[in-house]
Amino acid sequence: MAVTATTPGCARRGPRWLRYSLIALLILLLAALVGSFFWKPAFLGIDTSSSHGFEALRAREPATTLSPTAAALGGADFELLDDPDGERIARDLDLYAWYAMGANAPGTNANPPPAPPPESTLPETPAPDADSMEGTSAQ
Amino acid sequence: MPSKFTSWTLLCTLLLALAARGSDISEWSTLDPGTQQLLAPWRDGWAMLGASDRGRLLTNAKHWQAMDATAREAFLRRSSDWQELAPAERSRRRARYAAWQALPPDEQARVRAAATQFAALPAAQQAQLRARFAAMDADQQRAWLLGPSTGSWIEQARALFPYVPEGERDATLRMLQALPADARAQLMALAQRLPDDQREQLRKQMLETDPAQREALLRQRMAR
Repeated sequence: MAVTATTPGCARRGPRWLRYSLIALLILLLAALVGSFFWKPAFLGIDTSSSHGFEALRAREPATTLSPTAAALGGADFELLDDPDGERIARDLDLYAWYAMGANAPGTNANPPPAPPPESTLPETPAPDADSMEGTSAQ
Repeated sequence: MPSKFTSWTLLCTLLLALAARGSDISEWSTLDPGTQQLLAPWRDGWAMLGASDRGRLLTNAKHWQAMDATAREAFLRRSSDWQELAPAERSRRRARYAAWQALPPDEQARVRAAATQFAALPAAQQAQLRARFAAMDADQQRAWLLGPSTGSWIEQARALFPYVPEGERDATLRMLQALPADARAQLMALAQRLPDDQREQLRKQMLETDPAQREALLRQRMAR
């Protein structure tokens, strides 16, 4: 019984012309890639002499600008800005609350709790990231 | 095939909804000229704004109209300074302001009084107190954002009930806040004596019990 064995590591190669064509194609593509850094085809309408893209956009005025009053009225922080005293106290709320209890209440490092909890039982302190939804965009 | 009654009900609901929409007091045309002028940038998109956004804009406009020229100028100055802040700092201040607003009026009054007293201290003493406070770990500091009363016992509660599921944390906090101070102290003392699983059972039992019956439950458990 005839047994055809294939020696491992000795894969069958394709025809020689195919290998040469693939190598030539690879060289051509690499050359095109390198060339694309230096040559901008005119038919694509890419004008390198004038500024385009983000730089040009940044230089332009926005299509509409809100007046400071309108921006304040539409801002998400109107209430906070309208209450400067409350906002000033709120900045150090934790410190003042601690101080209100005589600054000797539990919670100082002098008397740490017996077993530090692995997970907080406190509800999450609200931390609205309103920068992403600041204001109500004017239409 | 819908019955006649169903059809009439649907028609009436539709007409009522249309009538309600027609009488919406926040329709652009119903706003007074002063408000329309203030909110002019939103005129074109007014109909597309949600009720909450409209309400917020109207409330803000009303506040603005109630301010005198000096107050408006001061507001715009604060607004300009606010925009100069780094986004992270703005976010931090928003969170603290939200915590401040969440405090009940009596707690706000205590904090306000403490802030006044603190401001009257010599600078060196203020710095010393700030340093002491800064030496606490972040969780301990954060606990005080819940106000002076809650801040004084929340750390002990956190240590006793460390594994409260997220969905029950607010309810547990409210339950503890609602207890009179002596009952809360009893609960803490009792919880301290119990093994972890029984302590968790006690917490759940307290949550499930009618608020008016919680003290009685505690007394009963203490008597065992």
